[in-house]
Amino acid sequence: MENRRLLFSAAAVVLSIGTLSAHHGAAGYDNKNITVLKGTITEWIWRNPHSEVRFDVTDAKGEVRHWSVEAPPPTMLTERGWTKASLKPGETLTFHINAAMNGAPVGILRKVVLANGQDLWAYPPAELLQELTTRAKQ
Amino acid sequence: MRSSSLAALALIAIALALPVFAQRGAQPNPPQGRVDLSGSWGYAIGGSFSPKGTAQDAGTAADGVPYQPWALALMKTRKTMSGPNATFGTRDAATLEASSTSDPLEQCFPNGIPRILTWPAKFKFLQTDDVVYMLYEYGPYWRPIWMNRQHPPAEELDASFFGHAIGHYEGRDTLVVDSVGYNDKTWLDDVGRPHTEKLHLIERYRRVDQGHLEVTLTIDDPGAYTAPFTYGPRTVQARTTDFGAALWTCSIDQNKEFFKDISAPTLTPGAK
Repeated sequence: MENRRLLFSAAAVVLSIGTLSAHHGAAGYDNKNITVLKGTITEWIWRNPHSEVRFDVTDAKGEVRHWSVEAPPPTMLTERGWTKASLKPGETLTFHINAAMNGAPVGILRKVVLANGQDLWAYPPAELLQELTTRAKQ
Repeated sequence: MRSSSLAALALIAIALALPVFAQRGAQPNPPQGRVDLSGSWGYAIGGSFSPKGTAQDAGTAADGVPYQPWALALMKTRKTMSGPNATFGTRDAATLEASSTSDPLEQCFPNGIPRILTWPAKFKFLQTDDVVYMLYEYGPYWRPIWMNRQHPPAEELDASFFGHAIGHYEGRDTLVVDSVGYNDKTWLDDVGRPHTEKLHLIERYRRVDQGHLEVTLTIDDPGAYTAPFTYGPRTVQARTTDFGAALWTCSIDQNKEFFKDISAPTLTPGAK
């Protein structure tokens, strides 16, 4: 499976750290770089204070690493077009995250690329947040 | 016999219907010119209710807040989740049972007024002639704003998390809320500004247009600050998703789970 780490100098400008939740201060995350992981979902937890997606990533040697990544709480995800059924165990999807700086397999979710290629944003850049919020319906 | 039975039934039906008509007829028309605050609003109005600067400026001259020395000193001891005193995420991962912040919200204490406005969840007004109810997805909490009344005498006020609020309309576009009667257990905002039971808060909600609400807060607490200070006006947006569809209920256990699953692993040096 694909497991690559991308340096996003442009993205660091575009992605506003200010849109991250204040709950944790995001102190332990690498907010300047986006890590892209292709993983198979083992659990999707729709929960306060933060939702959480767990997935397995298999590297080139066949070794599996278990990731736990935080996402916004249900009320915020709903505003961005998500539902509790947006992710399902067993799906293999591409996750864009800010990973922990200490190398632990945890992070904060920026977006998921769904099987149909659609982006599902968890913490979008500020200019996209406005568009997503306006688009979200009932 | 049959026609008399029908007549009796008709009379009963009319008698049953009368109170309904009477109730509907008795409802007064809404006062002309009252601002319509319907819809749902949010999200967070801000995390730091200072006249100037950002959350990172809290406690410096750049924030424009007239602290009394004790209030500034207390704020700086608080382990907040954001702002310059944020310590969340820096504590030893071995102490999982302990909270890594002194924020009362981590223990699910009510955030109270005005701090509830900092939370990224929606709020809503339900307007009646006598009372405006403010509903909040966080908690979920609500509070009454008693219209065109006075506060009770100070000795009758019970110091509480949500205070005693009275309101009036100003012009054709603004609701003004005046509240007192707060306890001192809440923080004013996310960066840990304190307040005392002398807190007197003025909230102004001005509907700019169909899609926008302007919020201004004036904080007057002679117990903690040397002068009143004002935050805003800050514009929030009308939301399109259902109000209350995803209530934000606080759970100490869930806060701990999150800390254990996500935060604690980031604290372990060199984890791989």
